[in-house]
Amino acid sequence: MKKAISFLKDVFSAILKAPAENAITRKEAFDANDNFFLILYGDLLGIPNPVSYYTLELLPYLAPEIEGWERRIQNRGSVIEEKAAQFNF
Amino acid sequence: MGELAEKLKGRSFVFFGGKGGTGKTTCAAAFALRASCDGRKTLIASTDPAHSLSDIFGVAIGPKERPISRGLYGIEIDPEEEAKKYITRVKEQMQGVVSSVIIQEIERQIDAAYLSPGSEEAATFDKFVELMDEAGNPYDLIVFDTAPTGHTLRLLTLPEILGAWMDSLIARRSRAVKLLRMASSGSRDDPIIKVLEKRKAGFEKARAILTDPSVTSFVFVINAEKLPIAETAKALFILRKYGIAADGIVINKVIPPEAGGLLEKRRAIQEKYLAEARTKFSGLWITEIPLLDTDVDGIEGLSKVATFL
Repeated sequence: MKKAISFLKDVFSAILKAPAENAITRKEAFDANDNFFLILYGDLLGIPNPVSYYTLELLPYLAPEIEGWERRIQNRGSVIEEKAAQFNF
Repeated sequence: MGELAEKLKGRSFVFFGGKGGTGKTTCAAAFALRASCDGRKTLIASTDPAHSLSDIFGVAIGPKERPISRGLYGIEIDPEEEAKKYITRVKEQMQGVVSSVIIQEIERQIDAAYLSPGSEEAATFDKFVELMDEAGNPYDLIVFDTAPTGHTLRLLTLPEILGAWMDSLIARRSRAVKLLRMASSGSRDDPIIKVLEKRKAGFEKARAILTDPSVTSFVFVINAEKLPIAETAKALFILRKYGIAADGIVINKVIPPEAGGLLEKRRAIQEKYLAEARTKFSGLWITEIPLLDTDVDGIEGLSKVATFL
């Protein structure tokens, strides 16, 4: 029952919310996730991580996303470009 | 004599620490031997990367627990072995979830982590927590023969540092998950947060054990010399800051009054340091072991030392 309600919530919010607003949230969500990855696997980019040992056990879940993340993070443009992308011009 | 063993009777975990060369291994081994003779099933575990347990007992002790004498078992924690086990487990877990192409792609990530500077420490720490874990711990007493002070302090304070790190990771991931959900493309149960929380719980448990003075005790081995006293005073301060209690000081290699001759002069110097140690560590149980006329070697030699503990 709880699951059904939460599912309906998701459905309605997706329909009712303006698509533009949703896109911004999505961008923000992906950014937050990318930053999370940066802390976990920064050593792939040459940022030393003293506890990379403990991030290994997350690999079974995160491995599929790593490649994409690396590409995104290495192709990042300027900060302004980044911020501009958050708005729908 | 026999005070220290009597006083630490109720403890399940006793750590022997101190400056290098003061006789930590000898005292830890003698203490463990004594406890096992008193009928307590005892494990002596070395966390020092440069192990010397095998040498002092005169038997080969490896990364697997093995019996030394009646009621006494030994283990020398090998970080490389532990790290290998951990990595194999991660790889196995990945088999089911991730495609083999991706596995190949991230092999290098695994290798990099394996070689990173904190790994050895983390692997030692994990084994150490595993040994202390109540559910799987079949011993009445575990005696830890630790590495010289700095290394050990780092090991003991790890749960606090890593716990804070886990907290920040969980907070970040939660935020990302929440946002993803708002953009309606994320699921409700996040396995990442579950893994992180499990780790965090492990650290918290280790911390709870280490900071419980009725379970865990720390004994420092010093000599009646300037540097060991100074270093131990510092170590005590740091441990106290992290809530870990120290109970005992063993002053090893005390020159007895009847030594005479050449040692007479050294004994006079030593008196000064003995007095200093007694005032500096006045709150702790102080035990003295005299300088013996023979080398401490094997179970026989250790039982001789054990009579003073």
